Amino acid sequence: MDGNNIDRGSLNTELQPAGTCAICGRPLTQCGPNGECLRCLVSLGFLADGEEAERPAARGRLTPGPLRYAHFEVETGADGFPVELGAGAMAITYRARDTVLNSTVALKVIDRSAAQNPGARSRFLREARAAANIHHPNVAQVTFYGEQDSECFYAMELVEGETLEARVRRDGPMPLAVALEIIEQATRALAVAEVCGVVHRDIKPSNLMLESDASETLTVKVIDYGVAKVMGRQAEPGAEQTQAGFIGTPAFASPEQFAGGGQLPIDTRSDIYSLGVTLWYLLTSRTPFVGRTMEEIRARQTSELPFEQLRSLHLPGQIITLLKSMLAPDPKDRPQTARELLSAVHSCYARFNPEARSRRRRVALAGAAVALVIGAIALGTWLYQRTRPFTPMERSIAVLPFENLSSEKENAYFAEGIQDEILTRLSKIADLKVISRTSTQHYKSAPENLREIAKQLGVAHVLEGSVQKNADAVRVNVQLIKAANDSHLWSDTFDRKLTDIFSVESEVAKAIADQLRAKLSGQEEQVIAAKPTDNPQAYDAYLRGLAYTLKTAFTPANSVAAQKYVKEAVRLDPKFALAWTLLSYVDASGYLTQSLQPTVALREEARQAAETALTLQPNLGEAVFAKGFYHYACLKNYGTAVSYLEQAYQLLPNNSRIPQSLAYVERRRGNWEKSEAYFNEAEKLDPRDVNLLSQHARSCVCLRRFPEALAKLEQILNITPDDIDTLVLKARIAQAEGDLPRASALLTPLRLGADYANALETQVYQAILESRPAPVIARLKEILAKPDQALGYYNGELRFWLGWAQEVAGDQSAARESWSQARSELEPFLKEQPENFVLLGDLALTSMSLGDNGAALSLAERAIALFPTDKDALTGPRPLDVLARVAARIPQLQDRSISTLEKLLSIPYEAPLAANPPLTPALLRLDPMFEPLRKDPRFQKLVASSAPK
Amino acid sequence: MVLRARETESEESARKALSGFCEAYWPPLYSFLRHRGFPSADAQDLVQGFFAHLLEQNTLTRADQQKGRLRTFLLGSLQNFLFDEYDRARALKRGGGRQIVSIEEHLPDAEAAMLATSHLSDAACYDLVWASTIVSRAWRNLQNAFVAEGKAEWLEELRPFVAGGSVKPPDQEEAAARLGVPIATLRTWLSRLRQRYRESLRMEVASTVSDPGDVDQELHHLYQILMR
Repeated sequence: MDGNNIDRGSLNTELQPAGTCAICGRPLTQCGPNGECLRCLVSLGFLADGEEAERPAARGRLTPGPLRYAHFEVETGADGFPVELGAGAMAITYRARDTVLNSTVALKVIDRSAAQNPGARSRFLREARAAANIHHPNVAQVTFYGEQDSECFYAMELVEGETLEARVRRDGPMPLAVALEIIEQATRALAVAEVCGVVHRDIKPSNLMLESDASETLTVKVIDYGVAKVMGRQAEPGAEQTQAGFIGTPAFASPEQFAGGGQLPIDTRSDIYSLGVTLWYLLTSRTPFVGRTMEEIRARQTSELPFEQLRSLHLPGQIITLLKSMLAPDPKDRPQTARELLSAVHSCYARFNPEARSRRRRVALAGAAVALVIGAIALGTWLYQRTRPFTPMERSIAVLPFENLSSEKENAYFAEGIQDEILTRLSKIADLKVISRTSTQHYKSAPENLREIAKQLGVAHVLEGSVQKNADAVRVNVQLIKAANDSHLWSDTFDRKLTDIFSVESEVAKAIADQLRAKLSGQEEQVIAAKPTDNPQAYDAYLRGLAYTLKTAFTPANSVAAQKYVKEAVRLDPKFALAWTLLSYVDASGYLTQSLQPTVALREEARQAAETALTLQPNLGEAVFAKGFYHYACLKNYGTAVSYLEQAYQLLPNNSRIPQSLAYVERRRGNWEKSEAYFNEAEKLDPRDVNLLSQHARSCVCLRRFPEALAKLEQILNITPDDIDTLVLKARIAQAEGDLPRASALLTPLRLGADYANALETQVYQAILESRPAPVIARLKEILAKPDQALGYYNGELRFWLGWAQEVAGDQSAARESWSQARSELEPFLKEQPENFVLLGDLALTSMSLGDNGAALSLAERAIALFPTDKDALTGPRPLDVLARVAARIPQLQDRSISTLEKLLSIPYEAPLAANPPLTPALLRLDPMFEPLRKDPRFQKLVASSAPK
Repeated sequence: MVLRARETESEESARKALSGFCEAYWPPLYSFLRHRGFPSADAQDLVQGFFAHLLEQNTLTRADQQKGRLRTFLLGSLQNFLFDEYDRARALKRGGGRQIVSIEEHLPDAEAAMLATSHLSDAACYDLVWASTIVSRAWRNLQNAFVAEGKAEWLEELRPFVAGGSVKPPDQEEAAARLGVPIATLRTWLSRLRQRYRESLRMEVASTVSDPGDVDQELHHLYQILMR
């Protein structure tokens, strides 16, 4: 059967714009040797039975002029041809007008050759009668049956939308909740058909239409009810289907349908099986049983289900059970009726769709309110006031740093920890907007200008608090303040034992949710009441570790300390899931930022910690986040990272780290726009996080959108004036724009040590670009006289820069000496860090400088092979940048150097030297490494080109 | 995969299979190298050198036994080749390597394809050229089969309805009249032609994956690449 699917607005194809395909209307950018449209051809590879897949509209096939069947007039397109909605070997479906009722219908006309068989006609009529009795919102109803000029036809409700097959093919697999919603609706259709005694026999994605109205509510319509049975009999013995092999229907057919010859009865259970295959398809975009022939498919149906296809989806056990029951080879093992299936599907849907739950709650609440209003208007009014939902703005809150009132200063970590834990609990309530901690930490505990702060953070409420810890006793005081008029909404003091501290955290969170009239789902209530550990010492160690992760930067010192305390926490309580998640996060961040030595062991620890947490608490948002972050930071496995992060985002809707991480992942994947959107989301939750803002600025720099980047940097300098990294980034932008005096004005006042790695290199690069290397040579020598061993291979990198500066100064022998030393310092690190592409780049450039072109090229190629641009759009092109520099020095490879530069200028990326701005025409002009290319006209053209995007 | 025949058949037919193989898959490899910044002459030499290397190492039969996709296998091997065999590639250039596959004839097409994909990353360009190669080959194979069946003209008549392109397909009734059949027959023919192409495409894809169960997924991947 073909789907009567309609893609709106593409019916008129008379005038083909030049360069577009006459069939599919898409631009002819992908053509075969004789001008075939490859997009049309590849579309033919899919399920559809005998028809072009995803054709916007079939073209006219009959003579022009109106085509009438009884009182139905087939619509004609602008080309004068009938408007076809779909066509197969046996029937054509037209868009037609019911001239009596003045409505639009889908009109299916059966091919004469099929219709001329009298047996077929009577069967067809019988089926159409049965199908016409099905009245249900999920069934496209048959409204008329007729015969004319020995053709049979019938009119069917017109469904404006697309088939599930088209949807999945376009968007890929569906989220579980959506798939379940669709299957539930389709099951309702099966249930009502069952009562009418009709079996569909051809349930599959292309026979399920998806209609969505203005409110984006999905409605599923099963089409072609009652048709398959007749058509199937026609088709089965014929050549069409056997020739078609495993295409189309066979992939969705039940084992009893294959048996054929009426050996086995075909009833609703057969449709249930096909719906099971459909569910599988919706979740995975593939069918469970494939084969080249019907026999192959049939054989596979009776073997084990290929659950490995589902593994990456992490489906709940209940869904697996549902699939198993629907796809049982023996009909006796499936749900016996559609009703039975409905209750199973419904329970899954209700359980795994959080929205369904809250919707029900809302309905229940509304019902209650109505009853009360009727009962007593006065009371009702009061109740309305009381339950009037706050606007989203009114349900926003910032938690300011808690004051440490303990006699010991050392207990500051405890106050910080309690504040963070309360904030974390609040942030798990989807109905609240909670500002992240990084944006509030710069404020005082009880500031005077509360209204101004609330305005800066974009919130209506502020929570202030203080914590006093004395040995085992803890006193926590909190005050919830409405910022607009500085009024106290609620305040309380809790005196507890240390062991009971969690109850304070959850009580506070619950009280605030109540005060702000936020709705809590059952799961949210559970989550905020959760007690992460029973061991107070473990919790104390966790809070100490947490405090280090909350500092502004991942310096080696902070990372090492955080790691130490969190490890202590999990040692004291190995069942402390939250601490495991923090350990994984600390390790993975350390691995990514290289603030911990990026060894394989560290990466393994990050993985194990995340997995331990997930095993202990599978629904812990932080654990899901840790797993996603590990996949991003340690494995660069972006697809998996995104699926975990998106899942975590559902569980932790206010956690800015999640959209932030998603922004990073999307950036690495080269989805710069998507990344930008996530940055904006994260900034709403954390408007004053300088780290976030500066990463966003870096994105703009990579895209060479310098004015936007500078605006972000100003925002950062407003929060933390004189921030060195920000000033240096401003200078780098000036360099990339070729404005050396502006860069110099920013850089000269800074006196930097080796610990400001990139900043120092920017100063050296500036000196090289300006050809004034003397001062930086002196400074570098001074620093390298007492190298800090903790900086690892970075000392060797600095020696490379020293050599470069010396070369620019004209002192070749000193330069060679620096480079030789650089090489011998860098090489040992390569053994431990064979995949460190920064190191590979350093070594390639050092070898090149020493004239060892073979080694330089080999190193650059190795880095390129290890880091394809596809794997990492942000830093992936760095090795190409290195290659362009190396190749520039080798006369026979200069062509390659220039083509590589052409490519680099056309893409966004982060450059390897003095990390950050990508190459620009200005940098090509100024950077002495490109000296050998200056006379090449192609290079000159690049230099003269305007700032590329 | 493609070279399964190699172990069982004669030397001669194995050699033929290999040259067919190289001819089929050089365009994506060549485009990839050009994207990497290799000038055309170097890229040609490297493709030849790479195939020679694959033959010497007997890597292809190994690939056949491995699980996976030819598409990713070849790209991975080429990248390793670039890294490991840098010196050998140089040597090849100097000594004038073996001609494994004749490239000249289709070089202009490959260059044009390369230019048209200059906005893509090297691997994305590889994928796109790969997808077009597979889909075009499937059509060519079908064409050859029809020619062998003596139905070349018949196919030519039906081609615009199925394969698209810039030429507007004629009126079906007209076409039916020209072929001297009722329109219903024409529709059946079209339907069969689509089915045969579908089979041809799926066979082509199947020859590049080791597990027949991966055909749908690989096809889906090709679809997404081409629809971008």
